[in-house]
Amino acid sequence: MESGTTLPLYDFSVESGTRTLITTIRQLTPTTIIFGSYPGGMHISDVRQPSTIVQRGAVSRPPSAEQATPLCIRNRDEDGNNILVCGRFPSVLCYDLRVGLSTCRSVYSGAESLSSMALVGRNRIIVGGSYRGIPSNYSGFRAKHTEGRGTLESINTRNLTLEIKNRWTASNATILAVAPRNGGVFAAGGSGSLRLLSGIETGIRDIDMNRMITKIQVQRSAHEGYYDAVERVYLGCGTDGVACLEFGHPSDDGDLGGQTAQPPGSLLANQFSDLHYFGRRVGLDL
Amino acid sequence: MPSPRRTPHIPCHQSLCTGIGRILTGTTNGSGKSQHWTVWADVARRNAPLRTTFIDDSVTVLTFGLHRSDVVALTDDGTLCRWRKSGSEWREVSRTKNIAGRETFHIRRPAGHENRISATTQLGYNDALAIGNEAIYFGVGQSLKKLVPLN
Repeated sequence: MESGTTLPLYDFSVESGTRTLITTIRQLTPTTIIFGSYPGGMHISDVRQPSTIVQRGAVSRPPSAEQATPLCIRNRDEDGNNILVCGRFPSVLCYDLRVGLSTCRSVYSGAESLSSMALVGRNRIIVGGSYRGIPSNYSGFRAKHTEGRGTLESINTRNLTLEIKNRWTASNATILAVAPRNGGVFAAGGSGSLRLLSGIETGIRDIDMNRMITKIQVQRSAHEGYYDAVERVYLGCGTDGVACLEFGHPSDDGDLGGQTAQPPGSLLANQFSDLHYFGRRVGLDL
Repeated sequence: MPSPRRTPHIPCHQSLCTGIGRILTGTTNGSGKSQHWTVWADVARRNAPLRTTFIDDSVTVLTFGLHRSDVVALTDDGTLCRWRKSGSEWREVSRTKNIAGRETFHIRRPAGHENRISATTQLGYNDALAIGNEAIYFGVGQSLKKLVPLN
């Protein structure tokens, strides 16, 4: 069944030359979208004018990278004039759309690839991706331990500086998806599990899904009094479709192991329990 | 006199990893197949109770988003699928026509390849879906599309 009308807006096959694939899209205004493409393109389209790209830009490929494909676009501010872009390159790019797509500022992180971004608070963004190399705080084995692993990076969006990064305990595989949670982030990817972190350094819970997770989307609790608490988390699981995780859902037998029964959406209280059990809250002041 | 502080006992060998086990309930999932993966995580004392439901595990999802409490996903054959929760079940309420072409990100899983974690690199690098109030924009390979939902 189909409940809607699909309209073509633009097709890169009409252009000769490079093979362009659309990789990420962000709606800026009701009439404007910005999207990124392989191998390294940024485009702005006015949806009132189909078959038209109103602005184009090219992401410069750094010498260390094989490509410069944008993978994720987020707004830096509420008015939508500034956007942040990450992808298969070691920096987060900041575009001022009033100037155009020809120039941008960048925050270099040194990661191999940065796949996903999550805005946390007013002036901070958490970026997840992969890092290839020996962690700076690791003095053990050498060559065979230079395989890619997950990295989480915290960037101050006000002054565009890299605050901290976690390349050691974030994940043992590429991080493909991050999403905000109170006091930290959800992170997932090739490890097959969804990790809850306080800040970006302290893992407080792993939920083993046994499958690759490519995207995380959170649905906030509507309950008053539970500020920023997460009620549901949706996971894109690639070949296994979409999964829905409901936090704070009582078990089917009603036995909470001594816990006080709590309504759905009461993750916040349990998170404080987690923090209480596992020590001080470190990391970001979110 | 203040009450003594309760200190929970956590065995030091306890793993941070919450294992999940699959329970077949016999109900239908969004694909209409008679297989519903409802997974109850172990209710550990220190963790919030958790329930995992696979909305539809018959499709390969490149990316997805939320639209008016529905889950809308872009699949590897270029279709947009929409699922809606009805009671405790998810059901597919709409699906666009297959518009896949030569340049799509279609995933071909090798026969007998069980290691889904390493399915493909492109699968994990696609966020070509923007969901607005009035329209849904998505990219299928080289084509940028717009879907105007009826409901």
